[in-house]
Amino acid sequence: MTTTTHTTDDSQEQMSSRIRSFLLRQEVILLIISLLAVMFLAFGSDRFLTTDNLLNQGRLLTEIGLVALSMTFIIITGGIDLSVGSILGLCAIILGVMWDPNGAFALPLEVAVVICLLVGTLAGFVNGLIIVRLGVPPLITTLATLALYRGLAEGISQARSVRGYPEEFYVLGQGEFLGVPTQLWVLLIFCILTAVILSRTIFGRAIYAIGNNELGARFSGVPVGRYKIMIYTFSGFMAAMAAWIFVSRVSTTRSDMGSGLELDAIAAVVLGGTSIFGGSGSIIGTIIGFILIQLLKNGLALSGVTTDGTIVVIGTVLILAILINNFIQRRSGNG
Amino acid sequence: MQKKPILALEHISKNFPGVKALDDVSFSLRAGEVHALLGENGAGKSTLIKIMTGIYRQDIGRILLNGEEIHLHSSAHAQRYGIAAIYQEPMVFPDLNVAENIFIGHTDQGLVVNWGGMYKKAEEILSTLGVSLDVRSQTRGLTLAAQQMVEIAKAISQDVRVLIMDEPTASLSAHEVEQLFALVRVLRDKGVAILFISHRMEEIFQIADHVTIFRDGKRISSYAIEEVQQERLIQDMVGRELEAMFVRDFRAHGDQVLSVRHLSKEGVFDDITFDLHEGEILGFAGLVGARRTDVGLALFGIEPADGGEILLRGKPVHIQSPAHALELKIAYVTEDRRQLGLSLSMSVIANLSLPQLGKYLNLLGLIRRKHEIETAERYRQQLNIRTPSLWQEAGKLSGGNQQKVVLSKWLNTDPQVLILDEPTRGIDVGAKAEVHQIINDLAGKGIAIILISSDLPEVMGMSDRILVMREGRQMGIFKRAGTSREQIISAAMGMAEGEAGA
Repeated sequence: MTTTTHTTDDSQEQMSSRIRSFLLRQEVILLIISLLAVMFLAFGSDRFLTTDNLLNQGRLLTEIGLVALSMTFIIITGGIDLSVGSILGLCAIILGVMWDPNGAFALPLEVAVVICLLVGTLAGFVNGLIIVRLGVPPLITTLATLALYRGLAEGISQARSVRGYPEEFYVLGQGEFLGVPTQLWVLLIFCILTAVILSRTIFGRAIYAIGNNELGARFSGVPVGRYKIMIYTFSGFMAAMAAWIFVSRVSTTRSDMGSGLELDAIAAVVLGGTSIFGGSGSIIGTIIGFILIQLLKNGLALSGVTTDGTIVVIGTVLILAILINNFIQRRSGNG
Repeated sequence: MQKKPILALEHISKNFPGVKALDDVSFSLRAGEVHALLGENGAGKSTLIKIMTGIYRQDIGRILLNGEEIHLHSSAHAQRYGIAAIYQEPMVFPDLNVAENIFIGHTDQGLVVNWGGMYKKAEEILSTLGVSLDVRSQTRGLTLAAQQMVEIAKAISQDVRVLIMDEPTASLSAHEVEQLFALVRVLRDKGVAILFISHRMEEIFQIADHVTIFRDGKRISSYAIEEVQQERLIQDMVGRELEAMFVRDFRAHGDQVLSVRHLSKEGVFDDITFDLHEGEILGFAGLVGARRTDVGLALFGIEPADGGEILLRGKPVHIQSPAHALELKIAYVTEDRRQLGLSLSMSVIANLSLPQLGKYLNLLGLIRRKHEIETAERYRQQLNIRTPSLWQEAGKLSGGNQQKVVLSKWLNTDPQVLILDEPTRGIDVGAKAEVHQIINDLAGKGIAIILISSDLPEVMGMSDRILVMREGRQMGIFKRAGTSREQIISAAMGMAEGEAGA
């Protein structure tokens, strides 16, 4: 047998085809688009490409970033979580109300933070239970809990805002560590964690398998239901983390916090190349996705474009990125 | 009473990749006759129907309607020529009422529906058929039999001349079958040509005027029903002798691995009892609807049984999920490779390791990709999987190679019981022989194998014993030696109880 020559040919072919498919990946295309956008925006305003401005943008994107990371898991399984913005609002209110020295609870701040994280996790767990055990589609479930959790937040807050937190609470949202905003470190840790989970663990592989072919995954012994509950629970936890950071950053608690956040997070994930139909996607893509969205928002604002205009541009970029991706997928599929 | 044929097929051939579905088939239907079509699964009946109704196009051959050649390009087109088909599961629109369903295909009625006229016509059609149904009632609540009546009425409303009935009785009760047959006779007397497909021999003798037997994509024989015996039909269906193509080294069996006692699932299967030993292959034979796959799914924990006992090496087990079955080292290779067996857009490597990822973890709980690749490479060589690269998407491989990936995936779980559900369906002859060789080797290594197969020569050539099922019931277990195909087929069609030997 000519096994040896065979293998050499194979590996060469593999190398070149892998390099080619790497260059054609959505992440790489997106990175190129991002760099072009940065260059373009830098011309629009000389305040854009400064360290101060970029680090400050880092502060602003952390909440969306955290939620987008767990949203990546969900979308890869073919699901969606629309309730994250409402969970964020609910958790922020819980944090404020539990701590409020003039309120009914007046708990220590640490305890209030733990409760805030627990409530978010529970809210996500409830989503997961409804989706898996009752078989309600994720879109419907989280659309319902979007309203439900926001309603709870408003009911609990009674339109009052809580402010006047102690100084040390603001370290997370307004402080720095080694010259970089504190929350960016948190985001970085979660980026690494989720990237490793997704690419190198059984759980991560199972998530792809579920998105690819849920029934097939079940036939391969993957505990589909349990894993799905876990990712929705994780999504709730991440929304609570974002709530904590949000409150610390803006120094106050209001019940409308985080409304619309789910759309930015979903946009970042999809922009990052994760298929809305499930089965493919990556954390690195999502990271580039949420950075690009934030840079566009900021750069356009600095160039004097109004908020409305910015939204239009972001929407256009989103559609363009997906069209380019589809085009390339089809080309490489035929080739 | 030889009339001229309404519909004639001349020298029809149809190939699918790797399979000759129809091979030079000529066949004709006459007005006012019920013509039964008989054949094992995969004999070419479905392909023939699909060609007659315009769903497939033949590669070679002509279709003549009243002596003129026609070219069908869709089932709607076939209906315009008066060729309609009804199936085992009626395809009605459940939210529309009976009359709406009957006239759904009529687009030449103008813009506004003339409700009164439509109800009147619907009632007329139903009354000519001798059927009493409220034309204003929703079809959702109707029985399967009544829904079939609606479908037949729909065909009549379109001036049907050729009506194809594909296993229409499979889900009907005995009384409903009687009603359906009465209706079929009405249609026949009106001069409609009826092509009737059923796996129930007694029905064919009850209703058909002529019968034609298919086997391996060829027309084998045709008879007038009054001049043929049941035995003759079965012989023609079974046909060929056991080919020498089946490699099987028969050895003495090892210890008993699996023992199934009175296994039942409400409304699905009932009282299944068998033993399985190391190195033994137990074939599961039966026709479509015999519920063999459901027994496999129960043993793998997908659809757990609700009665009876499963003993694994003497210990009772209650298998509740595939993950649990995997722990017990039971593996199931599904018949539906593309939907259930593989993640088509994932790589060969990722597909192969999915059920056994736990084997590849390092101390940190991370997957060691190198080991995964090594495993995949090992199986690629062992099972001769032909793929340009192990990173290739599984969906882009040929059927035979996909099946080898599925087999590798389950062999990698080191099973003691391996359930193979139609392991060679839809793969070409060469790959088929390879898969048979692999199955033989696995039995040689002491794996206990259940082989569910609709391919009778395969199941008889590969198995040590054959369990025959029919409509959820176990008809008997036959030893390979000394059992004829006629016996197996008779049992599968419910004509004779097989000697139940353990």
